[in-house]
Amino acid sequence: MKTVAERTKIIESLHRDYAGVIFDLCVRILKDRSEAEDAVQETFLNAFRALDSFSYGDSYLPWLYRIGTNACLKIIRTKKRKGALLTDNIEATHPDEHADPATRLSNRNQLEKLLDSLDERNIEILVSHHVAGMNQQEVAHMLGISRRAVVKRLTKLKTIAKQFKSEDEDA
Amino acid sequence: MRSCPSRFTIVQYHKQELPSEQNRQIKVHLDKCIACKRSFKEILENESIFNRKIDKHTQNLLTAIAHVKDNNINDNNVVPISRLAKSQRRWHLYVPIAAAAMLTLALYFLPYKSTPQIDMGYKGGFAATVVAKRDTHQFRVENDNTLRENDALQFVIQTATAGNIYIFSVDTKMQITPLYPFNASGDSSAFPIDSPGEHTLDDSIVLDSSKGTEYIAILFSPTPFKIDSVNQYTRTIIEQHVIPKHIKDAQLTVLRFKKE
Repeated sequence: MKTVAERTKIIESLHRDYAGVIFDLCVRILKDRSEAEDAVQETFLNAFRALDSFSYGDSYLPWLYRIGTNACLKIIRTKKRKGALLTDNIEATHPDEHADPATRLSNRNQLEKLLDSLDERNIEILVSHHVAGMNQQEVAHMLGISRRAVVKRLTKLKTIAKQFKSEDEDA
Repeated sequence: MRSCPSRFTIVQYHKQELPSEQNRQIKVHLDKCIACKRSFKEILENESIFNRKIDKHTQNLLTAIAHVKDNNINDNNVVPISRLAKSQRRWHLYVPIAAAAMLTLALYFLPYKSTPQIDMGYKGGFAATVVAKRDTHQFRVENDNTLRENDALQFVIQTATAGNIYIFSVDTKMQITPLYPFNASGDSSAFPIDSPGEHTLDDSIVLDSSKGTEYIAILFSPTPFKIDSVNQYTRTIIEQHVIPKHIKDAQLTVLRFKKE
């Protein structure tokens, strides 16, 4: 149990060290610097609130990445443009070397359908992997789940994506 | 390195959070791979853009944190004991002298092992109040109240003499957390209170997410003492309300609460 003063000091120090790279993460997700600045502040404010539950070992970075990702998702949800923003970003940021059909879908409708059908956890995994650029192991560490669980979920996303794609082609 | 590192790994490299061998591999890779070099440059650029206004951002963050603190608890919105309803007052400075003398006499003859009823309040010239702030409202914490994560607790101490205060919490596993002095280590001394009267202790304690029954013990002693010298008696202090012999003049208050 830390005092408010202790927590403020820790967060101030984390902000000086990591706010820049969290800003990079938020810009990647939100594609808007002004919104990304808001997301960074929200990230460190949430980190201040949750500091006592920090349990990521030596590094604060994966923890801040997760809080940052969720702060961005909250902004997206708040603005009711979840589908548009996420699809914009996945389309814009997924590199060709990612073979995942979920990211290869070029049709905006397919992507929006895919994202609308996912729960928050799957969106978090999708965004962390395909937008924030974390590998499966890093996503697993950040979420506190096994790499296998991440792989399983990504495989499931792939299946859903394929399904949407074939439905779209049939139509 | 067989494939490109993730962007997150590049960030970790930039922040020097990778093991030295991996760090070396990334450095070699970045020298060769144009795509990763571009990602690295982009990270540095975004960081640089943000850091140009870092002082402003930090200030904004601290202001926002202060606002969170204010919404939890601060000195201004703690209700001083003197402003509580008369029925709530455990100890009032203006009680008739005769009543105070009788009470003092009665307390003098009480054994150190108190009654089974755990009590907050007047103990021979010492009273403690714990005020909790939750969201926008605050309440005085009584025994067996249920508290929640992020409830902020503030301590208001009233003493008839100068002395030394030590407040600590004990969870169900008998794990001790010093709460006041805030940064107390084992060999620290109890915090000196220079004058009699009412003292609202600086800062507040924000509860963590652990569940179960916890205790807060507040010890006030006219003589200075080391925290370590008390911690070994935690169980008897919490469970039996027995004050260690070396501070036998100390006053003790124990608050038990549940965390959900």
